[in-house]
Amino acid sequence: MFLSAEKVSKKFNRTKDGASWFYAVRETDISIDQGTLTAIFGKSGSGKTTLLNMLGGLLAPSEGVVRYGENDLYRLDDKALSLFRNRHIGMIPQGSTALTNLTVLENVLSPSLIYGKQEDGSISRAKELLKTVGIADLADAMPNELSGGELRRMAIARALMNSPDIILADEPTGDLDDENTQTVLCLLREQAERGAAVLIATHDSEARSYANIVLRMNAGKLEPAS
Amino acid sequence: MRSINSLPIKNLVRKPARSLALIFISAFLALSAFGGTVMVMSLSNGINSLSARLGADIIVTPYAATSQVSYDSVIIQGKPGQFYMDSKYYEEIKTEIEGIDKITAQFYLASAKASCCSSRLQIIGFDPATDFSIQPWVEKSYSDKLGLYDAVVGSDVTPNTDMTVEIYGKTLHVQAVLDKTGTELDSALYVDIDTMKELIRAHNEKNPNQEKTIDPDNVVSSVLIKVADGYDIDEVAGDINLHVRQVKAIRTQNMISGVSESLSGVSATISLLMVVVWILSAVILAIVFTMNINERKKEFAVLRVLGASRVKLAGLVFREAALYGFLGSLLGAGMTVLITALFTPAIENMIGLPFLLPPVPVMLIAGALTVVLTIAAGAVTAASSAVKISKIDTGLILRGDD
Repeated sequence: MFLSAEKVSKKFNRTKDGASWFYAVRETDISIDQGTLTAIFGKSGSGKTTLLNMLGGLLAPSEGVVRYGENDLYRLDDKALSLFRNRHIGMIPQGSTALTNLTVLENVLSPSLIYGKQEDGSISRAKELLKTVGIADLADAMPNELSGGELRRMAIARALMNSPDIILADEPTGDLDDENTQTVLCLLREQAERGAAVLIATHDSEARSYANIVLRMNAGKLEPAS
Repeated sequence: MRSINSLPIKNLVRKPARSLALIFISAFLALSAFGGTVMVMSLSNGINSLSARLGADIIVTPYAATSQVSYDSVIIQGKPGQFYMDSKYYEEIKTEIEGIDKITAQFYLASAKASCCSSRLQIIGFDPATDFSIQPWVEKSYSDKLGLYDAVVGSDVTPNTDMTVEIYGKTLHVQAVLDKTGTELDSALYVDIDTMKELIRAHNEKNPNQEKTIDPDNVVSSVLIKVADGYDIDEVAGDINLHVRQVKAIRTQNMISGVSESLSGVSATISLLMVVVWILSAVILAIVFTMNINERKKEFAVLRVLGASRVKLAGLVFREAALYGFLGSLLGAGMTVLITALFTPAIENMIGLPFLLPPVPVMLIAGALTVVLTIAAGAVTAASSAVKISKIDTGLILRGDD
C-alpha cells in the first residue's frame, strides 16, 4: 500500500452560511501501489477529480485520512506538503494548465525550478520528455500556439519532470484523437512499469486495457467496475 | 529560466501591454512623490538663498517707494525697477543711529533692452568699500576688485562673445557669471558705484525728457544695515523710522515673510496635491494589480499543483509587484528630472517665486527614497492579492466541471 485513502469524504457548501451542502466524495477507500496503473471511470460530477485532488495533497478531506506509506499527508504543514507534492507527485490536471508566459520547454522545466535552480541535466531531461510525448519541435513555442492535444502532452511531460513515484492524471486523454490517446496511455503505462503508482480518472474506455485495476465512481462512492 | 523566481520577469516581458500599464501607474506614483518633493525643496532652497544673499537685518528705502506695490520684489527678487532718495539720509542714518555694525548703500537702475538680453535688465550698483550684501556672493565667482565699466552678471545673462554688454551706449566688461539664485537676480547685472554713476549719466542723456533727472552724485536707492551685537533689530529699525524723515526702515525678515508666506502656501498646495495623486495612484495600482492577479488564478493554481507552497506563491506576487514598482519608480524619477530640466524657467515664471533645484547629491538621495517608497507602495498594494492567492483553493479552481 503506497498511497491510500481511508474513509475519505468531501463535503462542499452550496451556500456561504453552510445551510445547504452536498458530498462530492463519501466514505471512500482506495489504495494505489507502485508498479500498477489504476483507472477510475465515472460520469461527470461523480467525484473523480475531487478524489484525485484529495490524494494529491491539494484538497483536505472533510473526513478520513490520506496516507503516503504510514504518514498522514494532511498532518504536514503547507511547506512540507508542497515539497512532498513537488518531489513525489506528478499531477496532470484537467483542461489547459499551461503557464502561459513560459515556453513549452520552460513549462516542462518548471517543477524542477520551484525548489532549486536549473541544473546541468535539467534541460536535456526536459527535451527528452518532450521527445517522448512527441512535441520536441515545439520546445520554444508559447502555449497559445499549441493545440489542445499538444497542451495535454506538454502537461504530461511536465508531470514527469521530477520523476515522481505517484502520477495522478485527470482525464489525460480528453481532447485527444485516437493516435494521441494511444500515445498518452502507453506513456502512463510505461511509468507504471518503471515503478510509479499511476492513477487516472477518465471517461475513455480505451484506458481499461492499459489498467491493472479498474474502479468506478458513482455518486461519490468508489466501487469495483463491472 | 534559471529559477522559478524569474517567473515575474517572464510575466513582465511576455505581457508587455499589461506590464506597461502597471509600470506607468507606478511611474505616476513616483512622479508625484519625487516631483512634489523636488518642487517643495526647490522653493525652500530659493527662499534660503534669498535670505542668505541679502545678509542685512534692516533695509531702508525711500518712503515713497513703499507705496509701490513691488518695491520689495525689486530689492528681494531683483525685478526690474528703480527708486531713489537723497544720499543725505544715508549719511544721517550712519551718523545718528546707534547700534549699526555695518551699513552700505545700493543703487537700482532698470535698463531698457540691453545687447545681451531680450527684456529689461536690472542694474544693481554697490559700494565695494562698505558692501556686505552683494560682495560675499560676488566673491564666490570673482574675487578681484571691479574696475570702471567692469560688471558681473547673473546666471541668466548671456554676454556677447567678447564678454561685453552694451547699456545706454556704454560697453561693460563682464568679469564673471554668478551662481544661480532661482530669482530674477539671475537676470541682473552688478557694477561698482563709479560705474553705476556713469550708467545713470548715460541713462539721463538717453532720456532727456524724463520726469525727474536722476542726480548720480546725490542719490541712493536703498540702505542695507547689519545691526551690531547686543542691539535689538526692531528697536534700531524703529529708531530710524522715528528720527530720519522720508525713509522707511523694514526688518528684512518681515520683507521676506511675504515671499515666505506665498511659498508656504504653494508648498502646502503641492504637498496636498502630492498626497492626493499618490493615494489615487496607489488605489488604481491596487485595483489593476488585483484584477491582473485574479485573471491569473488558474496559473497560480497550477503552480500549487507543481508544488509551490502558499508562502512561495505570495512571494512571487510580491516579487512581481516590486518589479513593476522598481521599473515604474525609475521611469517616474527620470520623468521628474526631465520635466524639471525642461520646465524650471517656466515654473519660476508661473509661480513667481524663487525656485532653486536641490544639489545633485540631495536629488540622488530623494530619487533613491522615491524608488524605495514606490517599491514599498507596490508591495503594500499587492499584499491583499498575495494573501488571497496564498489561500486559493487549488482543488476548487482546477475542479472544472466535475
